[in-house]
Amino acid sequence: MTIACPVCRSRHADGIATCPECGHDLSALHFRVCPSCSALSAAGQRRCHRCFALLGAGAPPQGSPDTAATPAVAAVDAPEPQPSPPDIAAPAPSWADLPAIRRDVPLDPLADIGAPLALARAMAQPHRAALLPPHEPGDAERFDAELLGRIAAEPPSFAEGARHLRWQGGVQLHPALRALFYLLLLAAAAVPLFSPGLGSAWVQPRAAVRTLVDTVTTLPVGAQVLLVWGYDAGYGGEMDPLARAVLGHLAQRQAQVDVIALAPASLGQAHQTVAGLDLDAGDIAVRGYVPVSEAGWRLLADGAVAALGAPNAGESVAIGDYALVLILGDSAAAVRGWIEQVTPYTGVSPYALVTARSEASLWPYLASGQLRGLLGAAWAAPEYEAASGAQADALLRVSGLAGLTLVVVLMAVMPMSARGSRGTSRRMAGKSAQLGAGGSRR
Amino acid sequence: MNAVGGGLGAISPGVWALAGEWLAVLLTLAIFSRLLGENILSRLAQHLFVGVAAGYAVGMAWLHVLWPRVQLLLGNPFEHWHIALFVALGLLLLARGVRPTLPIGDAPVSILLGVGAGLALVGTLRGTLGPQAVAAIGGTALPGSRPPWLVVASTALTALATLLTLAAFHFHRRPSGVLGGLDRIVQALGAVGRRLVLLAMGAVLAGAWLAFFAALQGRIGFVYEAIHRLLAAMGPRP
Repeated sequence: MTIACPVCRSRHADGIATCPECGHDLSALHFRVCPSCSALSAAGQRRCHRCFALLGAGAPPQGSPDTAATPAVAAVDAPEPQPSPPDIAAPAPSWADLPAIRRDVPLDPLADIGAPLALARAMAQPHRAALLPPHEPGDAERFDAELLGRIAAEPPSFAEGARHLRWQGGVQLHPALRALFYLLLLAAAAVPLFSPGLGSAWVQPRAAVRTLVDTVTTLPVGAQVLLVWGYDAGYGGEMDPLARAVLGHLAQRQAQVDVIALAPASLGQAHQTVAGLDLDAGDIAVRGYVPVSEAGWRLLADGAVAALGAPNAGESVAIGDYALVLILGDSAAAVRGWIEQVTPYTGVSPYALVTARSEASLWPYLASGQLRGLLGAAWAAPEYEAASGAQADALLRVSGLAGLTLVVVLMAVMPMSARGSRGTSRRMAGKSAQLGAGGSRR
Repeated sequence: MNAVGGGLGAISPGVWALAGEWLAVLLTLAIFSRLLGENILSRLAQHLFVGVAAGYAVGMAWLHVLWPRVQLLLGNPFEHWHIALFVALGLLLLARGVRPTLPIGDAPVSILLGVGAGLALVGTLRGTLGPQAVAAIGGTALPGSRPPWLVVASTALTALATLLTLAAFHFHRRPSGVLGGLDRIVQALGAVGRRLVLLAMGAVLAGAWLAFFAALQGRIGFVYEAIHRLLAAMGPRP
């Protein structure tokens, strides 16, 4: 009988203790080679898993029924006294030569149920390779670990998170030119300081501004006005002149103005602006702030301001009782909140006085009639002062806008001229290259 | 401590105002120094702004929202019992700070999100989608009185621009067939739509530019006036 080494698959005579090829221990494990079809079967199997031929040295000649009682494993434990030479070179028998399975032999298909898979026992044996010893880190890995630890442990610098983006394509301004633009911008903003009122005579109020001025002018004395304050100090430079002009105009009409802020910072800005007006404190009352959310707007619509964010609101006044509602906002969200949560329930359309950056996104509401008016504060403030005759503040800064226009034109023209000159130089370079190539051909 | 408080109280309000004004001037200049490049002064001013803004918001919320209600609750608990309910819901929110998965913190968050989402949905439908759709169908009402043909032209232009802008976001193209040809037509229209998007973004950017320039003007004017006042105060008095 022939057995096979599970490691190197070399075949040897049954009973050998160690594989002579690879040195593997074969005392407890064998693959037996079927004498009929040369297939490998586990040592515990009594018959070949391919052709059902009997395996083992004790197997009786085929056709003898009592051979089934001979355990195949016995061949492993009891080596043959004279091992037969390996039959590796023997040609595999053809199917025609295989003995026919005799039906009179009681074959028990479940006899080898303990080893249904040929390799099951082989895999279960502890013949696997030993674990490799732990990997010792090298110098590069130690350096990486130290660097990572240093990055994780060191305190953040002020420059952390700074990201310098450099545009890869198109025209890139020279740093000196960029610095020049910054200086021009600062100069444009500072122009009104040295030429106050220059150009104020050219300011012609638009129809929308005149409409708001007329609305305030025709308010009855003592009319109640609601001012929703939705900007903070960040936009005070743009919004404050318009707010001061409108509040001063309302004070002239002796209107009773209720101010409700939309954020804590807006409340502080409202207090500061109102305090700087030097008006009668009874005319303008800063009631508090309503958290700017859908619920806050809705409670404002229901006249329940005192229940939410403005405990000093005193007597609740229904929104519909206000003769005029003005929203001073630094974003479109402040106006949109009113339009979506207050107007549908009260029918009150406000005037929106917003920053110039928010004006464009609110145009659809003006076009649909949901806003009575829409003014961008940057332009509207000098126009309102000119139309209402209020104390000039934004009017004194008009020359700065003219300076800004000049700077913007410069910024638009110079990169284009740089691009044009670069394109010209490229074309020139291309032509000279063509000429050079032609010359070399000639 | 009292001595310190007494010492600070002895300083006149004018000095406090002057100190606050010049602190604001220095911080403004620190922010402006960013024009010269990244530096510690501008970063310091930015960090200070964020911290002070957060602290200011907390202080205002305490002064104007929480403390008055606590006073009402303590003064007459039976009349203002509903404030206790709100306070309890607010305290439940703190549980999420201890452990975000605690179920008791879900109740106030659910109320906030549910009510907010419901109001926002209804508000968007009633305040924006409905009226805007009606306005788009019925014609855009330009401010002032305009001839009818201008209203019709404006509405048609708005509808056309909307369609072209929508076509700008059509990226799928089938290889052949009638649908493939349709895709090519839509993408050709989308090229026009992309330019419309650029135009709209340019208008918004111009507005933002104007707003920031106005803010810059305000700051420069503030610094100039502070310096002017200081020089006037230091100058010879008659």
